[in-house]
Amino acid sequence: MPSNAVTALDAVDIAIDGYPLLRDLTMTLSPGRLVVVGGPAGCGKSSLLQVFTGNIRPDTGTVTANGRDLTRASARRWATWRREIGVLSREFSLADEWTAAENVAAALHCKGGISRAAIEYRTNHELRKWGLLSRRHLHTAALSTSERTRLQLARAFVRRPAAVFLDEPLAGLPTPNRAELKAAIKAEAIAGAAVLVAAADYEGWQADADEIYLISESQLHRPQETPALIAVSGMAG
Amino acid sequence: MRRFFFKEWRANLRARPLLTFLIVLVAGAGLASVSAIRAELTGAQQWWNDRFALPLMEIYLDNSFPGDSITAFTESLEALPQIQSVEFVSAAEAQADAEEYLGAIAFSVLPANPLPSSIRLTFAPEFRTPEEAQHLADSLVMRSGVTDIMAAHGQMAVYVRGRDVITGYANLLLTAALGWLIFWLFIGLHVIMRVRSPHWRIWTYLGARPGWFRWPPMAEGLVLGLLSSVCAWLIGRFLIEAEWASLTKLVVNHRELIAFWTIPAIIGAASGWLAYRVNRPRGVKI
Repeated sequence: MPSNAVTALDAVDIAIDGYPLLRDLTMTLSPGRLVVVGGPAGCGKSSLLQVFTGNIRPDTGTVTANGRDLTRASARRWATWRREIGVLSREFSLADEWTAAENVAAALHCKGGISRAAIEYRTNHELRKWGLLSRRHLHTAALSTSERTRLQLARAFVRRPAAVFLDEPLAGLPTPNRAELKAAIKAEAIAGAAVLVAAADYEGWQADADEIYLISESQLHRPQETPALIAVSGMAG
Repeated sequence: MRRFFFKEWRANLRARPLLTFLIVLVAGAGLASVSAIRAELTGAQQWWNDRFALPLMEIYLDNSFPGDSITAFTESLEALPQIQSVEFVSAAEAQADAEEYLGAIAFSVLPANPLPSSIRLTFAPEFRTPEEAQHLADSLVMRSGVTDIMAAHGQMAVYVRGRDVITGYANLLLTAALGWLIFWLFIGLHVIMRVRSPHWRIWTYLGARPGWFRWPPMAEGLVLGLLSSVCAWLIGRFLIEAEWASLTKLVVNHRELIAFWTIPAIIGAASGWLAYRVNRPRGVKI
């Protein structure tokens, strides 16, 4: 694992109900890098992200974060790690009973040690950055799909996390919005966050991603090792 | 955290208002039942104490019975182990008591002849049974100078009948209370967790500390328990009218009063804690 790595997987195997989903995963996330994992639906992209966030424990291999081995760590230590990261997940939706501002502020409340004034300031700052400041008092049920996605991104980035895990962040969005959000995510990575994106439409990320992986036959592949990606790249070029 | 707690609770109430109302109502009814049981038992105890603080057995004497014989009779009664105290009431004192008790109608009710003098006996606690009273009455009734000893025996019989009634009613109320507990524990847990489950997933991903999961259900259970106390108070006041007179006796006792309001709150908080233990996310480690 490189010395500046935020988190990494080393020779990780995952089986779900006895079915081997992912094998021999080795991946490192470093500050300022945008990494994209592609692959068809059901190949294990979301599961890969959940290994990083501790929601799925690997059968073999190690998960390290900030230089510490978390593979067999207690739930409390995993919670501590989760307070340092940002997540956008299909399973981790927004609370419809809360306003947009409250959904973002919840992440700061959980982190702890932040004053009310600071929480309000940082919440408003993040909402402004993602174009939602005027919607801050609306309940999330009243927001459009695009706005909900941006709100989840705001929540993921509001804690200035060391690493961010985004599961299909552009799913269901129209093309103009996709370009805008991709640029914003890239900007966050440049600002110093390690960003891992799981996306079925990985080809759309080639211009922005620092690295692209594909999951094929339960394993991670580099682009040059994957004929399908080379073909897509050729078409794009 | 407080802000999110109240939002979750409000969402819970909105999601299942009728069920929440029913829980509070049934919990209140159960609590009122428990209180009624306590009131019944306390009332029975009070009744017992009242009766036995009065002369248990009143031995009416012939007014021609000589004074020295009365003294000897009194002394012989005091020597009996089953007797706690002996008090002689003269004919004049009996007349004065009766006139004071009857008031304006005393003139028309009281007989022309003077009332008999009497000896009032209080039994020692370990001998306060109808059998002992009957046994003593049988041994005294044929004694010279004694005219009647019926009154005390009648009071004992009333007590026995009252105890049977109280026991049956207490069993009924106890059954209702147990039903309340079961209802509270199983349905209450569901309601407490209804909205919290999806929120817990959010808190989990955000890395919330265990207290974020544990305290809100406990706080909600505590509040519901307090509401149940209010409900129980209203039920006791307006529906269990017969019990209310006894129930109010509890209120003068501060310890009982505190228990009346805090026990359901504690039960509610414990239910909330149980809800946390039963429903905490399993697939996602917190």
